[in-house]
Amino acid sequence: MQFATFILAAVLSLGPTTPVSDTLDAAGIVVNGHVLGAPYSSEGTLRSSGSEQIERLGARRLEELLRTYAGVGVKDYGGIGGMKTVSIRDFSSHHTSVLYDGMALGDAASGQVDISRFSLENVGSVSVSIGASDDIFQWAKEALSAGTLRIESAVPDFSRSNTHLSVGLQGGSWLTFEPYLIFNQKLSSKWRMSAGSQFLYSRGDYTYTMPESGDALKRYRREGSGVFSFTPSLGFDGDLGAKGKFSFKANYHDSSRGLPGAVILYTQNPTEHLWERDLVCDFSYSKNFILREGGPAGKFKLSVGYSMNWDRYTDTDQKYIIPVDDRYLSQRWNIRGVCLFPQVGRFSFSLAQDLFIDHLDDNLNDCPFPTRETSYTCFSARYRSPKLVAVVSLAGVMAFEQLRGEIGSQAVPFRWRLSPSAFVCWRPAQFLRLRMSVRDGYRLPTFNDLYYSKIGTSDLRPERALQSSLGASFEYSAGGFRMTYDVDGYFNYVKDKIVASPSLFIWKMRNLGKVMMAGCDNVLTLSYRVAPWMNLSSALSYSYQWAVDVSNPSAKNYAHQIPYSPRHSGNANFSICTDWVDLSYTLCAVGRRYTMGENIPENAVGGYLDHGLTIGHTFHFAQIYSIRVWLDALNLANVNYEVIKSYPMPGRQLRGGVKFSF
Amino acid sequence: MKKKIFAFVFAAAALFAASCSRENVPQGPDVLNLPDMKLLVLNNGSFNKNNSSVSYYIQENRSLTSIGSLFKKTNGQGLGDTAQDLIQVGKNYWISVNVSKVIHVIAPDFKLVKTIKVVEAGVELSPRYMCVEGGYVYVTMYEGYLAKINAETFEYEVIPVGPNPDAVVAPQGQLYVAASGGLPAVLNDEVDVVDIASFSVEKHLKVNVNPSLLAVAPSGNSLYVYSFGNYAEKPAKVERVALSDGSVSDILEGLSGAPVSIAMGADGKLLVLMGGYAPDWSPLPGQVYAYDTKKEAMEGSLYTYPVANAYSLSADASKGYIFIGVSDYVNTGDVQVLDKAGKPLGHFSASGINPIKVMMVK
Repeated sequence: MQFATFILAAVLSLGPTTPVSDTLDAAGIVVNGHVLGAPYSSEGTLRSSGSEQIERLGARRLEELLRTYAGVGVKDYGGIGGMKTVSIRDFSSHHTSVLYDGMALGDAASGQVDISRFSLENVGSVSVSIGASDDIFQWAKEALSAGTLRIESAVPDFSRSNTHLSVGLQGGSWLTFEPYLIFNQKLSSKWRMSAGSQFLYSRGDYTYTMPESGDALKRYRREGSGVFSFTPSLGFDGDLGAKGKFSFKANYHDSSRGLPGAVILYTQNPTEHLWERDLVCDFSYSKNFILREGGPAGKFKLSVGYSMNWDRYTDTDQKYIIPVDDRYLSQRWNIRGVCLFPQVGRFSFSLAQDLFIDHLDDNLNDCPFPTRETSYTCFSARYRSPKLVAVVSLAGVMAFEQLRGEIGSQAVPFRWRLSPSAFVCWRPAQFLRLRMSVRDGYRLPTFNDLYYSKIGTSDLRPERALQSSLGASFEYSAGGFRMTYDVDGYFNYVKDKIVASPSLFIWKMRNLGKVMMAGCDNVLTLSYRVAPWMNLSSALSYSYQWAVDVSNPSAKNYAHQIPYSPRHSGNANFSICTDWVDLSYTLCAVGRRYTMGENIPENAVGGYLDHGLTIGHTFHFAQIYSIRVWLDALNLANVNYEVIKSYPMPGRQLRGGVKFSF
Repeated sequence: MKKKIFAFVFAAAALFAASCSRENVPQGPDVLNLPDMKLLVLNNGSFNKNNSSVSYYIQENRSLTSIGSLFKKTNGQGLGDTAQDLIQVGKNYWISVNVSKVIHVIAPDFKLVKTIKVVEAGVELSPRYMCVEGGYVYVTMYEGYLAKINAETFEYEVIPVGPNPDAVVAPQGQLYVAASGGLPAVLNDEVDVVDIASFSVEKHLKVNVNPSLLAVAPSGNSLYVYSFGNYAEKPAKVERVALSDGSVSDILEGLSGAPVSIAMGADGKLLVLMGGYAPDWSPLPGQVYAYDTKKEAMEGSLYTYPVANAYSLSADASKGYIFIGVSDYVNTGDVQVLDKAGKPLGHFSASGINPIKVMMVK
């Protein structure tokens, strides 16, 4: 059956399809321009959503939106405060770059970004680009990732007012409150500023069942899940015309949250807590230029940034004679530049260069206080004709490391890799677009992989990831009807995968793993304008993922599906938008997965269906005031399904909000 | 080049076809022709996955039956998270489950008799190892306590002992507790001596850092202490403590490799599972060494039979069987069975992850 499904998907992937316009959301819906500043677009595989689609889907937090994207996985450790990471087609989350308003998030210590902090209230667009694309005007580091998640803040339309203010409050089950304020001011014809602040408080103590306890009906309460966070932001943007564009952004995030951990049979004793203080700020400048009078324009952009992640982790479990109180300060300085040279005939060339300096301090006894200087360089060439786009890129990374203390001599002072990629998109007809991409990517080992107390292994090699994809986009529209279909078949191979492996007494990080992945993502969207006051839309997606561990032919899990990777997953959304009310139903379906590498019934975690319903309406007053009122009902079936074993998700919940804007 | 591409595509297709089966159910136990063997295997499971289990093996009339997840099948509930120890107390079996903080008492038909929670000052304690003496079961609690539980009424009392205690043994009217201190930055290096009559700590014996497992010579004269060391410059050791004068000596002096576990075998032989790791940190195959507790002398390795991914060591002192739990922490473990000379008799699947202890059912 699974084989037949795959063949069907493969046949579909070769069948006649059609192009889509530049951007497709998770569900593949074309983003329109209700908010100025179009979402990121490219001819490559892209999932994106504008603010209107996000609002209609009823997604209030980033993970809720991303899990509806075909080919994008969210690891969710449950609850509001639980960690959530995003990954592309079964690559680990380390292979995903995250940009927030162009600022690079993440650090060299953990190498991944916890996306649980992102509310979608002030977000104008979200996009995930997968694999290589025709975009050669991008930062060097992003050109090397398996995928890039881009989050762009909403930019208001200043044509009718110089001041924009949004004040909102949303709340829901388990004493969850999230007030926010967003202020945008046009300072002059060239400058504008934005400021905002969001608070989140949640007790988060939802109930769940635990059939293994012998009483499948008994409900337990998830203790130790409370979270409080405060996230202010500030930004200035200037458009000086021929002199270029300036932008300064700063985001701060301060949170205190309980870490309830896994639910354990017969006991519940949450003793872990995490405090985070993260700052990211960035200054950027971009400008168009010409090399000769009347010639084509080139453009460049430059970014200088700093980010800091301060974490304090405590565990007061009495088995620790001295309670755990670990503190980490990870800092990153970066300077990045990319230049797209003026077009020569049908050829364009770009050169991107990123420099990062990362440093880690902590209070662990054996911390070597590592510092890493990393240089990413990417040279790209693109050919573009009316029907064909072809891109080749060669990227390279060099990383230098220094350590302090006794372990200093163990540092591998220099790591490097070359990474070629290619992308071709052919548009044989106006309604059809075919694309192919291949990339030899990699990720550097993180500081935790290399130096974490006793577990780290200092001589790890970069993890290599071959990524290839073949896809098509099809579009049809007539009258008020519009249909898009997007399909991608892919094959990925990860080598030297960095995994924790048991040594004699303790676990060590090693370059052991090999994973082979093949699959197919399908996205179908339909929309029909029934009447000027009513629009129907639907989005369906289905993904097949064959991701198997091929590390050790003699191991029992050889050629078994890797943990937490479902063979089958899909989403469905049906929306009715009218002048009086917007109604949307969303279904998220995930098939059976395995908690361990060996695919035996004892390790299976059942599939789940998550149904959601959202209803909302925006009242407009005097053309410049509006009030949006909405109500969401989530997980209607009230099933405490598990994305990660022993981390049950919340059951049925209600959430509502009101937002005033002028 | 074409050959390489073909081979690659073929390999991918073969892998794909192999994975298309609905479930890759593990094969049953291999040929193991031991008369009237009944075994219980305790599987640690994986941390925070609530998948500890007990498996049961019966070989009667050359027919071998295995029952995985015995506790769950019999009682309709899971064993818990990170089972640690299994002992027989009278007719019942006691199983300590560390992270779940319970001790299950099960009857000979494996039905649950009692689930014991030991609470001290409002804190649920995490049981580790157990021993039975004089109608009481003594259980180390990782928060730094030793519990004394009445085997009939299940009433208990606790006393504080050294940090993160592991094994406990009861020779000659005294209890010895390996106070590992395995969690703090500074590891402990003492074995606590507890007087059974007064149930109080009498003294401390200095040993290598991070003591964990204990075994007692049949003569009762010697205590053998397995310690992890500090995972760096202080290596793991097996030391002999002369109970007469408290003197300590390293019984592995001169041997290469590192000890993984110990167990008391037949004929007064202390069995030491030796392993080690390669420069790339991969674990080396384990081998069983025998130490004669009567002569206080190392005999050397038994029949040369290195076992990959050797994880635990159990032995039946009466019949002489040696059981090596095999695990890569990811897949269902196996149990290798040797006779007392180290000759391999066969192996079977443990039907669970990380087999920590094998016990012959009398």
